[in-house]
Amino acid sequence: MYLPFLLIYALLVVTRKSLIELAYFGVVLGCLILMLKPKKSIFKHLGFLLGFEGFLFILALFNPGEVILVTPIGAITKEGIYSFFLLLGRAFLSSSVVVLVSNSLGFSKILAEMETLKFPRILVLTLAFTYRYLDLFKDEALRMKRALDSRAFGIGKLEYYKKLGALIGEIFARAYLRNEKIYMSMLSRGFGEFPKFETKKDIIPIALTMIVLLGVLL
Amino acid sequence: MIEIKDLHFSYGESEILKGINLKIRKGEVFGLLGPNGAGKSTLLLHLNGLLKPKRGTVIVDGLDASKNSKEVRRKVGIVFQDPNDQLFSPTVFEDVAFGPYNLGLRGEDLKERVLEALKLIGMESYIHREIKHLSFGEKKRIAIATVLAMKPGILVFDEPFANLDFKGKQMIRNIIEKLKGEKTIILASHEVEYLTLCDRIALIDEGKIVKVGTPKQVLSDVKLLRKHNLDVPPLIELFLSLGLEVPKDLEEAKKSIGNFLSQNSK
Repeated sequence: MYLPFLLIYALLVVTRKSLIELAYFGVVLGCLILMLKPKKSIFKHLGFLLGFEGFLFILALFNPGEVILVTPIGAITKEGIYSFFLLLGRAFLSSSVVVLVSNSLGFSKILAEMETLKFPRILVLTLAFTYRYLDLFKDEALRMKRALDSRAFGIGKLEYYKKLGALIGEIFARAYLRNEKIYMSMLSRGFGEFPKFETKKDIIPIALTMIVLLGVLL
Repeated sequence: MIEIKDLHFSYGESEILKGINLKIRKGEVFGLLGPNGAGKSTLLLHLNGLLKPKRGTVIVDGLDASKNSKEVRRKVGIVFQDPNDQLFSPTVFEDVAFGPYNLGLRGEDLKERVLEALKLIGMESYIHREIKHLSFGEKKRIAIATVLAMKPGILVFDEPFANLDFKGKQMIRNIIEKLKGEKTIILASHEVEYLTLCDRIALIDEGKIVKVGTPKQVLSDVKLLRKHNLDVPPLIELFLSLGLEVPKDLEEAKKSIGNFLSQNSK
């Protein structure tokens, strides 16, 4: 089960106070990559994540301390650089392990694990539906916005945003209608209860959890 | 057998079905032909009790669909027009398993049933694929598998050929041809050419049955079809003008033309 591992790993990473400790978690992440053998495209995602989080924490570089470089926007300090890498390390390691596992295993398996761990069923099902319909919802919204843009010439900005507001309302109305149709489709297939998501026993996450806990204790 | 007697249905003030009377025999392929808004989909939703009639009854194998919806839903499987309405689970396996699970199947039996349904439509290799990554045509075929997995005696297809390219339409047609004889099949469509595979067709418009008969009887009345805003394919019109039977597929059309030419050259 990867979910307990993810929770423990993320919790321990965000509470680390030194870069050396984070390096240990980095090694664990490296091992996970070797074991899961993810698709190459995942590294593009991780690269984007690193860049985004780096941008978020950039202000930490200017923390008070020993100045090592003066830039037009402020002085970069030694303590600032340390804080920057500490924050970046915490954020990147904790989020990339989630991205890595969910992309390699598939969202269904994560849901199955949630079910096994007795997460509330309504939460699991809501997540399953959200995952299934999010893209459809996004596509529908995009199509409607394109239709609006293609005919929204000659109107002022205020009018445009009013129409956009109405469009958002319409998207929700359509989602509601789709909801009814989906329910009908479920009823026509004898809806009583949802099948339980099945999980397979896997030794890798248990071993990794032990390694992570052992590292912290030492 | 399905027997629809004096079926009336309204959405609010507007009456959609105005006294439908139909008998669909066991094992036949029955077509419901009609323009958009004729009431085809509304009629189909009555066949397994998803909609309750305002007046009249729908009897499926001796059971009133509105009063015995659970039993009737085991017998009648509906493939909806938009597969996105039908496929609500993250993966193909989970969605196809949904129906049989509700029928009480578990474990290996459930897996076997899912695989069997996917094999019937030639998509067993898709079993672990995520639905959101499938094309529209693939989703349409998986939607058929979700119903086939329940092994219903009656299969209902709502606009099965809508929004598909030629290859997609041929694939769906082949699946229906494969199931012909094994199950009672009801097809609702406004595409005349694809209803030639039916044993009988009912023309429906403005909530009323206008005509029931064999494809030849219904499709040969070009004036009537045009009156009800239905497009008659040139090939069908050609066959009718030559006094030939409406062919079920291209092979039959070739044979028929060949015979016609050899007879007339003599």
